[in-house]
Amino acid sequence: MLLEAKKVTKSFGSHDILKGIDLSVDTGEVAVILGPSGAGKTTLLRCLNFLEIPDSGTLIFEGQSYTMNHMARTEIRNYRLQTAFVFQNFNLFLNKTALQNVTEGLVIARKIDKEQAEKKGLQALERVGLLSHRDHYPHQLSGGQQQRVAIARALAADPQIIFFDEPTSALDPELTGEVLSVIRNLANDGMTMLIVTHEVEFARTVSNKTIFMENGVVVESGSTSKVFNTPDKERTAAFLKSFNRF
Amino acid sequence: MSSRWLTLFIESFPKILIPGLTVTIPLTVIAFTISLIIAILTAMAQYARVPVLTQIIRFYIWIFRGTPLLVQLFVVFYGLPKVGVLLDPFPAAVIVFSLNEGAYSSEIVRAALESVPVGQMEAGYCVGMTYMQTMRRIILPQAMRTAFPSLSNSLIAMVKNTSLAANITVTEMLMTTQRIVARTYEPLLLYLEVGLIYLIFSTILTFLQSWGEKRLGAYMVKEA
Repeated sequence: MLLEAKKVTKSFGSHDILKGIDLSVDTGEVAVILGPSGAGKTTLLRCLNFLEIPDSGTLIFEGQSYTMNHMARTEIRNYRLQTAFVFQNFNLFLNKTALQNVTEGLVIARKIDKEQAEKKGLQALERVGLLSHRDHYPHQLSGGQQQRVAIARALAADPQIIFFDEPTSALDPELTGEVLSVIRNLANDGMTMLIVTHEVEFARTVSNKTIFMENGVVVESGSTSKVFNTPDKERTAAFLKSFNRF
Repeated sequence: MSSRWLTLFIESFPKILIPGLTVTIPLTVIAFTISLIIAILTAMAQYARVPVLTQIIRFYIWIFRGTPLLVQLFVVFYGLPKVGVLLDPFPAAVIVFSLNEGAYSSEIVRAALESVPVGQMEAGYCVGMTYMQTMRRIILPQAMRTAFPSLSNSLIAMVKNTSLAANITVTEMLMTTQRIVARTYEPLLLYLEVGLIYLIFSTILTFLQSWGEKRLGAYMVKEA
């Protein structure tokens, strides 16, 4: 198992957002997290990259075990160097061009020399089909293009796993397609991904594993075909059915 | 009468301009540079909410924004010798202008830092950068672009405020003008003249400001 999280809890004030989440992702696996708004999906993903520090929980990554609420700064940083995160609202560096967005982490965080980084950056931009936009600043790109640059930024670092936090939720409907197809290509290339999404049909077709969450707990998790076709829990069935009404 | 005025104007112009170039401008450039360093460091400490240091900085800003610049000049130049700190006029002026401007600019830079979306820092973390790397490469450049117009205003204000240094015997433009007035009894002409030179300095800075804004603004969203 590449990544395993056990009994992750997180509360904000008196609100228990995560009530003991267990989750695992294997190398090469595409796992999706589904669930209604307020289920804690985004908080979970942010906890898994320590943008929020969980109140408790264990993380096992590449065989190494960590207590999630007691990790040294350097441990978090080393872990982040092996993972990547794609945000709902892109969060491209506003003062950097598309190519600089991709190379920044390579040059500054990983100390890869500039020429090498640029080569990797251009390869990554090519993979998301934006080579010709290398010198554009974020404000010169559409939402869909910005998100594809963000995916290139994630890819360039050769991460073990990429976390996607609702990657199409901030996009106009006609722009979601280009982003989803980029993610689908990564899946076909064997990239390990953990994706929080509201695009149920996309989730069904892209993933091997589905995790259904509600009210801060994992209601059901298993292979995508199992969860979609013969869910064990009534709540899962009801949630998935609500997307098939039309 | 008018030809006497013209002659006096032409004769006195270089006499006033020279201390402008040798005192007013160096005083402004040195003090503003130091104030910018103070502002960035104190703003970053406040932004990061460093305990104790933040309280000390708040106190410093409270003192320097809450008292008149002229009083600060008097305390440092005429007051401090009483406790054994003797300063020449020029360094005394540099110290006061730097600390005073630092206090104001600190608030400008802090507000600009806080205007940068939180996601920029998070994105920095997620590509493996440290807090300081993200601050230096991503957050601070964006904040300084936001702060630039306000800081330019402060710079222009400071050029004019350096005239207060005349009160602690710095022989800058105003003091030089006062001396010529004492000899010639032509206050109207000479004070208008020194005002004109300040206006020229400010106008040049205003042009530099809009040029700088254009250069720095390459990545900024165009106004709709």
